[in-house]
Amino acid sequence: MEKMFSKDRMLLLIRSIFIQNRSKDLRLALVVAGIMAFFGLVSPSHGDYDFFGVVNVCVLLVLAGTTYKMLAVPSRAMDYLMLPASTAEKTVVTIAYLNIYYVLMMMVSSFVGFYFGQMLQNLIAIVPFFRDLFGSSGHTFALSAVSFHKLGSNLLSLTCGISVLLFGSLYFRRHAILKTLLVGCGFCFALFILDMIVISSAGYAYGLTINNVNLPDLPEWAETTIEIMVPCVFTLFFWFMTYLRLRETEA
Amino acid sequence: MIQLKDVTFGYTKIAPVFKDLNLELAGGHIYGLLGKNGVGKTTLMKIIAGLRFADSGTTEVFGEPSYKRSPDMLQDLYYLGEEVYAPQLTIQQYVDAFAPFYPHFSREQMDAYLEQFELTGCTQRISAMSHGQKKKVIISFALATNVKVLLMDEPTNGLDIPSKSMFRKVMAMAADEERLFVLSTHQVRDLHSLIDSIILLDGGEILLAEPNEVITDKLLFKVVDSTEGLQNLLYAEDTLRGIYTVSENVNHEESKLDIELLFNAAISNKKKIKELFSNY
Repeated sequence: MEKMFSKDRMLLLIRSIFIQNRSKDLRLALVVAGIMAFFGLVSPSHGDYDFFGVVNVCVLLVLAGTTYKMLAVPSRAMDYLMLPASTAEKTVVTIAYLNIYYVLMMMVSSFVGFYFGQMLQNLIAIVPFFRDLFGSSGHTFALSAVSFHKLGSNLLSLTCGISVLLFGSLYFRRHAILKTLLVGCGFCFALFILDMIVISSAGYAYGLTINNVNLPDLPEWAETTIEIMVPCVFTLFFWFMTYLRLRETEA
Repeated sequence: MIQLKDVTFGYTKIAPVFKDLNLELAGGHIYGLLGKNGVGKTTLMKIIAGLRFADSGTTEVFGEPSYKRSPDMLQDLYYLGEEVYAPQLTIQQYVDAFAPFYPHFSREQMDAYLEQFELTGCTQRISAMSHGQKKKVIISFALATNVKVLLMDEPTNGLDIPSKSMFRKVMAMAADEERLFVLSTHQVRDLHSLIDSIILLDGGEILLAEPNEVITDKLLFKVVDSTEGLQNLLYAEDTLRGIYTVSENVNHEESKLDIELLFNAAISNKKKIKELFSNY
């Protein structure tokens, strides 16, 4: 176990990744903050804020889908694989980096950007021309209005999406995001077909979709458990697959 | 330190690069890994480093299977590829990011090697340096890690003439009785004075893997005017300065090893060379 996981080596890995990426990450955070400031400026405030809006989700998924892009370059792949840390440590640190560091970074930078945009909107609304142009709600959003239940549910779905793209970036060395999405779509389509076959073979009329079928209502606790368990199982599965794939990666 | 037993490896099933390869390398040596293009020098080094997995057989470094790439093995083994990865970091940042992984890393040594390579005080990002400079930085780092096993693939490729001599000097500074260096090269003249043992690879097998003194004990390197009457001649090369010959050293005469001649002699007399050095 000591060989597989060492706290010191994991901290060194985090430090090493941080040193290598800090200027790139700072630029990314500034770009996201800038985009969100623009959205904050032009959109009316409703007093709430979606931490996992389109911008954040897209950026995080792209980051996940390009994590192991460097393995396509032999010299970089060798450098990474020869770094003195176990495969398990490298996998765990990568997962933590994507799901904690980058998620927090995106949440903070987009929130700060959006907040700044809204402040600016209220400030310039004093001038009638700008008030007509951007409109003004007269109030900014408050963190207390954020739905933490929704936040948790979104975070879970996002973590699941990140884990799929992380595995995709390791499995497909080039055009990983596109290929992962295509495989994902193919998988969903196959599930849909399977659904149709199951429904029709169960005696329902042809032409029915799953939406028309009256399935028995599950108790609320069961629905909530399924909602939580399914993304959790998927996430753990793809994390484990990432570890296995990395362990057998050659350069 | 390194042990390969019956290693078979191929990129395709039809044509294996190696078949039942056996090799044992001990510390305190600078091995020159020689062979023709495409013979598998890089592949062999990668198998030792755990970057390629053999189809069958075992490869052990410090008694551990290399394919596992365990942290214990990796912190005492450094593989320097022909193409080096140069991140967008300064030398200082590079050291900050990677040196702590190597428990025996010495900043003083790194500075001394950089000084030899005339790179002291360089604040440029490594990625912005010339190919030769990048290589010199990574070579300095690799040597300063003080790992027990250092594998270098064509280390002098991309270095200018003065840098090659600097490289030899730096390598001589870094070598000690415990460390094991394996240098793969086409350019034997660059590393002739450095190498103390030779591994000769051809046709998927090791023709010989011996220290220089064992080679000169068994083979005689001589420049003659005529090959007439020369016994047990293995190879002769006519040049303006005379005929360079390699023959069996039946009388245990002293001679100076010429790696290029040895290489040509071994390639043209595989069977005889294998008989003479029958350990492998």
